[in-house]
This record gives sequence, structure tokens and C-alpha cells, in this order.
Amino acid sequence: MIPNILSLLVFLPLAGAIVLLLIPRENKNVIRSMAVGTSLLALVLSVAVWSAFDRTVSGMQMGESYPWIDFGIVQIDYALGIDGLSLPLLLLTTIISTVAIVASFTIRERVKEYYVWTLVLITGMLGVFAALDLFLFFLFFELTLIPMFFIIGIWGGKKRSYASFKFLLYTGLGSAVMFMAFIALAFKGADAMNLASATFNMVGLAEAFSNPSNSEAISSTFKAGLFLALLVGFAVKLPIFPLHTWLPDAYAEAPIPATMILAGVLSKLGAYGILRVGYGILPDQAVSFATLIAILGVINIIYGASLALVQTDLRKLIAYASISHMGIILLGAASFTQAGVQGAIFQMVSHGLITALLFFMAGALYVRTKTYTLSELGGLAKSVPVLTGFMLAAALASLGLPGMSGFVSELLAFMGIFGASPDVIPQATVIAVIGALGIILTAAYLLWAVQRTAFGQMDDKYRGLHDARPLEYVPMIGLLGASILIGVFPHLLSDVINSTVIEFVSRIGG
Amino acid sequence: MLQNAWIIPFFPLIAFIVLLLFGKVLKPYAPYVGMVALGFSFVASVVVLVERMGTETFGAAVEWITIGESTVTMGFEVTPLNAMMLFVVTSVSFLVHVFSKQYMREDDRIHVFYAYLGLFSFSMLGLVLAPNILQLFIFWELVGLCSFLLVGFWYFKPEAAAAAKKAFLVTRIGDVGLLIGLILLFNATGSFEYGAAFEAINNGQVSSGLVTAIALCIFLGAVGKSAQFPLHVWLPDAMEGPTPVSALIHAATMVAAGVYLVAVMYPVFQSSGTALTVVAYTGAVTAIFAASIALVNTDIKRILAYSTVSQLGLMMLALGTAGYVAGLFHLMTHAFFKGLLFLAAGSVIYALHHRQNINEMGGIWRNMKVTSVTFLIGALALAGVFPLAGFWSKEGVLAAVWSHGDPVLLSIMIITSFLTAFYMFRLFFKVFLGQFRGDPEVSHPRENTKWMTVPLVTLAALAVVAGVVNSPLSGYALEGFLVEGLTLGDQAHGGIGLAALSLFLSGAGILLAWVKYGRSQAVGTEHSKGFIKTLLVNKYYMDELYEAVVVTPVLALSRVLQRFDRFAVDGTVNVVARSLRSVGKAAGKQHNGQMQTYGLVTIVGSIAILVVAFMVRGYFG
Repeated sequence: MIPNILSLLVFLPLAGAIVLLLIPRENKNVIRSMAVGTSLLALVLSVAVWSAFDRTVSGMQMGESYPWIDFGIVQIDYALGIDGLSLPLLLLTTIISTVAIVASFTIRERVKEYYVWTLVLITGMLGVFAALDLFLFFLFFELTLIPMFFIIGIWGGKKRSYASFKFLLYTGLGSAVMFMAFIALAFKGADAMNLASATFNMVGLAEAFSNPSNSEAISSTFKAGLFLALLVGFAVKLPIFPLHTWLPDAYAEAPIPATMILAGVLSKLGAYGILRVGYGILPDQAVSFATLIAILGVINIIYGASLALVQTDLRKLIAYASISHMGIILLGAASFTQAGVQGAIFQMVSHGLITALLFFMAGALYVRTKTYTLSELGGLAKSVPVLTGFMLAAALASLGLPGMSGFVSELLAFMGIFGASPDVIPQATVIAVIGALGIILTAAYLLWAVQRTAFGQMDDKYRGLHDARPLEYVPMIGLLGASILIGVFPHLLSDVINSTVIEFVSRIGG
Repeated sequence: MLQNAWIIPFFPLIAFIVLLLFGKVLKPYAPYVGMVALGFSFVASVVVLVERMGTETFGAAVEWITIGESTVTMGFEVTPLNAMMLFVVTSVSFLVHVFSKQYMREDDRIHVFYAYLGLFSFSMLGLVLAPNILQLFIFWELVGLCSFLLVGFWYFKPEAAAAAKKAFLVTRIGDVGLLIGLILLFNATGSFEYGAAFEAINNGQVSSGLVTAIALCIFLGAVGKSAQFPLHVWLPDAMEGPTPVSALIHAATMVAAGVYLVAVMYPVFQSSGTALTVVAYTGAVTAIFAASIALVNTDIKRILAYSTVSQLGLMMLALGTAGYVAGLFHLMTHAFFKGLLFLAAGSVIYALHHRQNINEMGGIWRNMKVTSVTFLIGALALAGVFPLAGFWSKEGVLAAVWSHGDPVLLSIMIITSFLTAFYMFRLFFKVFLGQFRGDPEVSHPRENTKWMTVPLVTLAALAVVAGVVNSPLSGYALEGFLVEGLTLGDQAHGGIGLAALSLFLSGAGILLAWVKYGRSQAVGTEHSKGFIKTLLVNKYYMDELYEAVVVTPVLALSRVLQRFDRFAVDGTVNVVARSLRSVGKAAGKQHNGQMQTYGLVTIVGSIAILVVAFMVRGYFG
């Protein structure tokens, strides 16, 4: 096994970005190939990590830890490590990044800058999933924000300025709240452990905060406040109602490959943060807020689905669908059952793959028809049967058709919420049944969207459109294939997650 | 062969994959690819059925997913019930594959059609072979998908696209019930496996209230799939699909999956008297309700669709009144004679260049002898005339209801039997007798080729003889086979008296139809208008009711929410953002908006961080 493989994986894209800076901007093809090559290499590395991962270990593995910054009152480590929660997300990141970079052939202006930002963004995402030090986590978290801001602002659609501003304002303030909570965690944790300097070490903090003997040093009110602050900070990213309104604008204005990354991976940073930091360090508070989280999950599901039902723009429809599907993660996580937590992780991966595919398909149709407006589309199955076929497949995956990953995650999440202990969530069945109604709404808006684009009479102006091009098959087959693979053989994923999930739930339950 | 029964669904799956990937090249041979695949499946099914009669249930499974400490498996098993189903599904599917070669000949996407038929056959067979309810659900959804694809096969027709969507959505309401039911079952018993779950329930591990809830949730799934009241509304619209599809999916196999589901989960239903009563009454109401609509409809396929809804109701009624074997026996015979009726109707429609209004037909008998005779056999079987298959199975249902003793259910059963005979022969007389009343262009329809007539004759033969397997002639052989391993009460058998009652009802219905539509040569349009007729013609306004009670309110609410989202949620944010931006602009010297914004956020964030850090530090004291 390669030593420091996690560092290698995390910083490989950044290194690629630096190399890109040295290439003259006119050599667009070299730049593109370099970017694709870098992302592919990262994908290969992450697969190596996947195969080297020990499935029987529930804790962190492949750890790296070095003292980094010592401010006297604050001690910051450079610490990386992964478990069954982070590994699937690392692989998701490299998969989505690779297909998004391949899909970036539609970007024609300021190509070099575009790829540099994208590669920096990838390092940021990988870093968040691998970091074991809260400060490092925060730095990587912020490292995703800035590139995305520029990508939306420079390469976005007509309202890009507004959208990027809104994205920045929201997620920036979210990060600020999150960081405040981190600082409070670090100092309070150091206080409880009688350390001279504050530590951001996640594992150490988890012990400090769960140790009953520290109950005097850390009041439960304080912990509750901290948990809520973390929840709010991460909620923006996910996003959770009512902090979601940046999303439809950002998703609709960002260039398609960036939207694939935004919806596919960046939204998972929020969910990951809630699980890793919120649940990981403050499990008892997570339990006491389980009902709230479950209710927020159901609101996301129903609210997102209702709004998706009345969208007239294909991209906004997918954006609201995305909000709705994030609710499944919350429902599963709130249940504190093995099935539910596993469902939440499955849904992170599954939604990442499927929503990226949906956005890619919307973009591929846009390139040909120059519109996202549903009422202007129709009958495209006649002129571009392959593209609309994949569009239909993506919609079916998204609505949870068995045989694809979405079904497994919904099944697990609902098994979890229906099986939630009454001590954790009193009226779990009611919440679960309302959430299940979302399944019907989901089918309604997705089939409606497919019907409006693919079925019916075709306008003559769409005659003779070019069907799928060879490069377009890479994202289409890659993403759909991954979703089907998980849907048919879910144990490929559950084997990796399971030990961590068992440990995770037992810690909360015990 | 039992060990290898898993291969039966894989033949059509291979056909699907081959046609999906190489369909364009294989187009002229697509029907043969499908036929060969189904041929193999059929032969294998026959072998499995015969072998199963002599041995015991066989099952095998592999790990599918690990959820914490529990492992969920997928596999297959061969029980008497699904051995029978394998035979029914593969035989009808094979014949539909043959029939479609001619029927879909002119269609440019015939390879896609056969690909979908293959996917459907795979899914339906997978559903039947499933050894646990989760796997059943997986294939249950896949057959729903195939139904969607095939109903919407002519996607460029707006009605077809709308019908496909409606079929998927309405059944999905039921599917959510089924999903909840199976999750509750798992959480209560710790297993999706039929055997283990039933054992836990029989051991009293699950409270009776929960058993009833589970049974009703599962039944909701059956109501959607088998088009029972009030979720029946999708099936008549699904007739927008090509007619062979209607025969296979919407008459013989998929719609019967709901009945099959109740049968498979029968031990759960037996543990809840309430659930069985709900099943019986839902079936009864559906049976008479749909039959009454069939009385006045004028579309040949929709009449048959309502008839299917009604007959599925009778199967449910049988299951709900402890007539386990009767319900399944009727499922089998119905698959043959209703498949036959649809294909024969398809033969007529094809000859008339896709005209379906029975008021514009008539006199077909003279020109299309094979189609006419086979349709008549199907109609007689459906009406329950001795000695055809429908007579035996309908009598079984009647016997179950009779011995159950509920007078309401019995009355409904009797009336429905009469109505069934009447509407079928109204249909028969109007289409096949009298003078042709339609478009002169097609006034001399020609009998179709062997590709179409051979399946008709085969199904007609089955519709004649299939009843023997559960009649006194064979000593109720099917019953002996199906009840193996189950704890059922005595299965009711009708005596001479019930047989006479049943025949009397059929005869009366046919006679009345003859008086009204067959006797005179002028079997034209019906003119009478009245309140009841209007109600029936408009299908009890169910579609309008759903529109008013479900669709419109949901969309209205969604629009309200959208306004709320735009003005309340987003509006508040925009106001805050705008004021922040103006502060930023006032503070900054450069007016380079975006960079400045980021700076501002960073500053605000940092100040907040410092403040908190300071406060926390101070709090530390």
C-alpha cells in the first residue's frame, strides 16, 4: 500500500491545478487532457483506497497525523483518516469529478482558469471527507466555496452574478456559523480535558464530549446550542428548508458540469458534516433533536416535491427534486437505526450519481434545443431517442425504481424511520407515512418532466438533432452504470459501510 | 430442473438486452429473438411444473445486502402456486409474442416493442419466482415500469403518453402501501422471507392490530396493481397501448399480480378477519361496479378492460371468502380466455385498421371466421357456460361466496354473473352479427394470417379445456396441488344446485343480450338516455372526482407554496442581502461587486468568529 495515500489522493488535483497554471492558455486540448488525466488518476487512487479498505474495522483507518500549527492557545493537527462513512463519499467525489470534467467539453471560454478552479474544488471536497481535524475540515470546506463562486460567476448563465452572490452569501454565512461552533467545541473540549491549548482533533473531541465525567464542565444546554449551531451551519449546504433558496438559482445558473458537482457532491458536504461532526461529537444531542431532524426531513421531501411539481424550467425542477431527495438523508439519519443510517449514506451516494446524471441530461438536451423551458420541448424521443432514453432512465432512478440505487436508499431510510424507537422519535410512523407520500409526488413530477420533453408531438424545429455523441456516453454510462450496480448488488456498498454503521448506532443507542 | 428454475426469467432478459443493444440491426428478426427466448422459458416452465408435481418445494438464495446485523437475500423458489403461474405467464407471453409479429409488423420500432415485451416477461417471471416479499416488490415495480413503457409505446400520441403516466402514478399509490406493508412486516418479524415471516405471525409474535395493518397495506398494493376500486381508473386508459400488450399485461398476467400477492401472503390475511373482509368487499364492489360500466361502453377494448377489472374483483372476492383455490383457479382460466378475447379483439381491430368503436362494427362473422369463433369461445367461457373453463372456475368462486354465507356478497356475485353474460354478448352481437355499420373503406375485413390465428386457436383450446384441472372430472387435481403446505379451511365445491344457478344466470344474461342486440338486424346505436345511463357512460365520474379531490388541490397547494417560497422565504433573504450589499458598497471604495461581496462575507464571518472566540474564552474565565 502506498504510504500517505490519502494525502496523495487529496492533493493530487491541486497539484494538477498547479501544473495547469504552467501551461499556456492557448493549448486548450493539452489543458483538457491534463484535467481529465488528473481526475482519472484521482479516480484510480480512490479505487485503490477502496480495495485496500478493511471492511471489518469500524473506526478510522489509513490515518495520517502530524502536528501542524501551534498557536500556543490553539493546537492544530494535520490529520486525515477514513471510515465506512467517508470512503463511499471519496469515491463518489472522484467519480462525479471525472465525469464532470469530461462533460466540461462544452466550456469554451477561459478554459485554463475553469479547469484550475475545478481541480482546486476537487481537492477541497476530497479534503473535507478525509479530514480528522476540525480546523483542517473547515479549511477544505472553504476551499470548495471559493472555486464554486468563481465558476458560477464567470461561466454561469444570464443571472450568474445574482446566483453566485447568493450562493456565496448563504454558504459563507453558513460556514461562519459552523466555524463559530468549531471554535466553541475546541475550547470547551480543551477545558473539559484540562488541556493547555485548544484542540480541533475530532476523535479527541468526541471522547471529551461523550465522557460523562465532563458533564459538569460542559453543560447539556451548551451542547444543545452547539449542536443546533452545527445543524444550521451544515443545513445551508444540504440544504434544509428554509435555508434552501440559494440552491435553485445556483443550480440553474452554474454551467452544467459545475451543477453536477454542486448537486452531486457539495450538497453531501452538509449531510456528511451533520453526521461526522454533529452526530460524531454530540451523539446525545443528536438523539434529543432526532424528532426535529425527522420533521425537517419530511418538510424537505414534501416541500421540494411540491415545488418541483409546478416548475416550468427543467433545471429548476431537478433542483427542487434535489431538495426533496435530501430529506431522505435526514429521515434515515434521524432514525438512529442501522437501516436508517445506512440508508442515509446510500442516499448520499445514490443521489450524487443520479442527480448528476439528470443535470447532465438536461444540459445535453439544452445544447441541442437551446431551452430548458418544458413547454417548448416535447417529442424529443423521435429525434434523439438515445438521449431521451437515458433521461427516462435517470428519472426512473431518481423516483426510486428498483434495480437502481435510489430504491435501495429509500428502502433503507424508510425501514429506519418506521423502525425508529419511540424514545428517539415519538410519532415516527406518522412522520414516515407522510414522507412516503413524497414517493408518489416524486413519480408525478419526474414522469411529467419526461413526458413534456420526450413524449408527445415533436416540433419541426427539433427535426434532425444530433443524438448522443461519443464523449457524452462517458457520463451517461458511468453514472447510470454505477447506479444500477449499486441497485442490483447493494452489498458492494453495504459491505464497506456496515461496520461503521453498527458502531455508529451502538454508540448513540448505548 | 427445479434447481435451475432461475433460468426461466433470464431467457427473456437476454432477449431484452440483445434487442436493446442491437435492435436496429436485428429489426427484421426481432420477433424471432423474442419468440425463441419465450419458447425456451415456456418449455422450461412446463418441465418445472411437471417436476414440481412429483417433488417438494425447492429454493436457493444469495446475499443481497447487509443491514447492520441482519442480512437480506435474493433467490428463487418453486412452489405449487408459482409453478402454476410460470406456466400461465410463459404460455400467454409466448402466444402474444407470436401474435405481435403480424400485429406490429408495420411499426418502425418493432424491435423496441419486442425488447419491452422481453423485459416484461423477465420481470413478471421474476415476480413469480421470488421467495421473499422484497424481491417480489422489486419485480412488482419493474412490471409496472414495463406497463408504463408499453402503454406509452406510441409516445407521440398524447393520449398514450397521458395514459402511461396515469397507470404508473395510480398504481404507485398502491405501491407505497405495499412498501410500507413490507417494511412493517420486516420490522415486526425480522424477515422478508415468506416462510419466516409467516411463522413469526403464526407464533403470535406480532400483535393482531399490527397484522391487520400489515395486511391492509399489502392489500393496497394489490388494489393498485389489480385495478380494484377505487384505484381501477388507470386500467381502462391503459388500453391506449398496443392490443397484444393489453392481452398480456392488462388481462392475463400483470394485473393478476395483485391477486397473486394476496395469495402468496395468504397466511397474513388469514390472521386478520378484518383484512379478509376488506378483501372480499373490495373485490365484490369492484366486480359489480366495473361490470355495470361495461354494460354501456362502446369501445371494444375498454369493455374488455372493465370486464377484466370486474373479474379480478371476483378473484379477490373468492380469496376474501376463504376460496383460496377458487381465486387462483379463476386467475388461471381468466388468463387464458381474457387473453384470447383481447387477442381476438386485436385481430378485429387490426383488420379494421385500428377502429375500436363497436357501434361502427357488425357482421364481422361473415368475413373473419377464425377470429369470430375463437372470440365466441372466449365470450362463452367468460360468461361461465358449461363446459368451458370459465364455468368451472366461476362456479368455484360462487361456491366460496355461498359457503361464506354473507348475503350481500352473494347477491353481488349473482348480479355480477348475470351482468357479465349480458355485456359480453352485447359486445359479441354488436361486433360479429348484423350488418357492418362502420367506415365503408373497411367493410370487408379479411381474416388475418396464421401468426395471429394460431395463437387464437391455441388460447381457445385452453379456454375450453383448462377448467378440467379443477373439476370433479379430475378429482379437483389443481386443489390437491395448490393446498400443499398450507393451512386452509375446506375449499367449497358447488353441487348441482349451484351449477344450475350459475348456468341460469349466464343463460339469462345471454338471452337478454340476444333480445336487445342480437335478434334484430339493426343492432345500431343505443338511444335511451337516463340518469343511470349517463352515470354509467361517465364511469361514475371517478376521473372527475380524482381530478377535483386530488389533482387540483395538490397543484393548487404547490402553487401557493411556490409563491411562499419566492416571496416569503426568498424575499426575506433578498431584502437582507440587498441591505448588506448596500452597506458593502457604501463601505468599499472599489465597486467590483462580486469580489467585494466575498470580502464582506469574510469580514462579517471573521468578526463573528472573533466575537464568539472572545466570548467563549471569557466564559472560560
